[in-house]
Amino acid sequence: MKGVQRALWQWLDQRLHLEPLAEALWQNLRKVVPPHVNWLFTLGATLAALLAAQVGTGVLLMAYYKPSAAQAHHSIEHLSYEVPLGWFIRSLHAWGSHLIVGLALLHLIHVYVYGGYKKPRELTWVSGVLLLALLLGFGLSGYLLPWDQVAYWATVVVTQSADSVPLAGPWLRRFLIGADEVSDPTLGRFFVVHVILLPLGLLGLMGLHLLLVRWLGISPLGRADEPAPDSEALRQRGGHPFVPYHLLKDLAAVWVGLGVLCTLALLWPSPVGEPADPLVTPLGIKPDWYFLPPYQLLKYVPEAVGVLIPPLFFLLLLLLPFLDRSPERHPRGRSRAMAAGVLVAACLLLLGVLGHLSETTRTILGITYHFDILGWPSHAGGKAAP
Amino acid sequence: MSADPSPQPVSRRLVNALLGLGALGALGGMAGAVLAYLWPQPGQAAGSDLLTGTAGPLNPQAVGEGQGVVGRSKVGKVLVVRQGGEWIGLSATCSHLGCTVSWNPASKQVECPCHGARYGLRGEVLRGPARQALGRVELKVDAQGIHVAAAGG
Repeated sequence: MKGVQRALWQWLDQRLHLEPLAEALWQNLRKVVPPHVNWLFTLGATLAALLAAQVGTGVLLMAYYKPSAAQAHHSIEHLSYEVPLGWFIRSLHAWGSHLIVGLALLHLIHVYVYGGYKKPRELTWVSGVLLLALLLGFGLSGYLLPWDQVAYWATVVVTQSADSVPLAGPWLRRFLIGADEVSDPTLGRFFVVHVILLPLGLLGLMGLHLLLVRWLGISPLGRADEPAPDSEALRQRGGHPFVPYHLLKDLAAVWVGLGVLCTLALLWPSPVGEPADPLVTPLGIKPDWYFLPPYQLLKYVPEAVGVLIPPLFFLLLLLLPFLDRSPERHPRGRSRAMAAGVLVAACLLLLGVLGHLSETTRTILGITYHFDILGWPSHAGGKAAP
Repeated sequence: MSADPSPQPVSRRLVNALLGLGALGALGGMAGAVLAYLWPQPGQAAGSDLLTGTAGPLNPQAVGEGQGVVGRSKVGKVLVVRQGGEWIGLSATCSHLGCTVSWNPASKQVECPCHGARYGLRGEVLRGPARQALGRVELKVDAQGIHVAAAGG
């Protein structure tokens, strides 16, 4: 077997001169990672594996899905109830989207805390934030595809928000949905964006991101204005080569991630909702959990302000390495940055929780509360309804 | 003091500028064509003046006194309420974020299930977050069904 491998390699090398490339790749993979690198540094690899799984399940779903308002919901029913393991593939795809956004946010927080966005890794950060925007785009465009009531009306609310963008609002909304209201042309557009445009963008940005991560290596904890320690210095401080030590950690985390995904899909399969009816809006329409903060924000501030805050927030995230010029990377030396991060995370969490609770009635410690549209509770009785 | 040995009838800079302009023009043309291709066609939401529901034209006999129903027509979604022997038509699209409103016979108000906006029978806002009133729609009822006569303010 080894002889065949060697012969094949020689055949390729004689034609393509791959030896120098393979040598450079091997040297890169043998780079020593800093000693502070722990299990939290496996989030990126787990995310990449889940994205690969998402592409696989997405391709399988496309074999049965029909992107038209008349057929989309029926094709989802057929897929979920009649196609062998169709329900499982669909649930893997749905749960995968939640896990990916969740892990991407954790990955972002982790890089922020460790100051990994500082010189010379500014472009790695920028490509990562753009990837997060793409992932949210996947969530938004994919949410509509089942063409059920929740999907339809959540998309109506989200796309209607674009109406409030100053000057070009109605123009932008009409272009986004391809008609005067969310309908067949909208589904066609969202489908193409979900299965062609965003995956192409993802492929390019992921390639760039991974290339930058491997090229620059994992960020050390030292100051950005000090020369980066070489492999020998890192080895003396207790670091290990990426291959095989950190790669094994990455692979273990990948299997755990895929295991969690399968478990969630098996235990809580995605339900098939009622088909979309543009004439009847059901109660309790809410977007996916990661869109709850901007959804709730729109209730407190005028729409024209509310629709501008999320893009501005993203712009700030994108420009973070150029705004925070302090060379300090260690979180202990960045108390202001840590405080700002905690404040932003707390605001997002609070808005998300208020959005989740709003317009519901819940019993907490034996007391029933009604949470109004703004998420404020009012006493609604001593006992829960049976 | 050395002269350029090869004469250049057209300078390299001019060629580059022409190539750049050509590329920009081609890209602009393509972008315009793509925009025109993707731009929503007028009249995609057009319908007749007869209000229809999911199961076909709305039947006026099926709308009892104090009841309301939503149908679709050439002016979009319309909420029809029969109140005190009168047929009242309002735009059924909430002015806040576009959800379809419905008539609540108990509270005698038009309600939006998305964010809780409330409207009166003349379309006026009774409770936010909506800020704009629902547009009035003139109706004509005959044996064929409920017709939209005109959309008012």
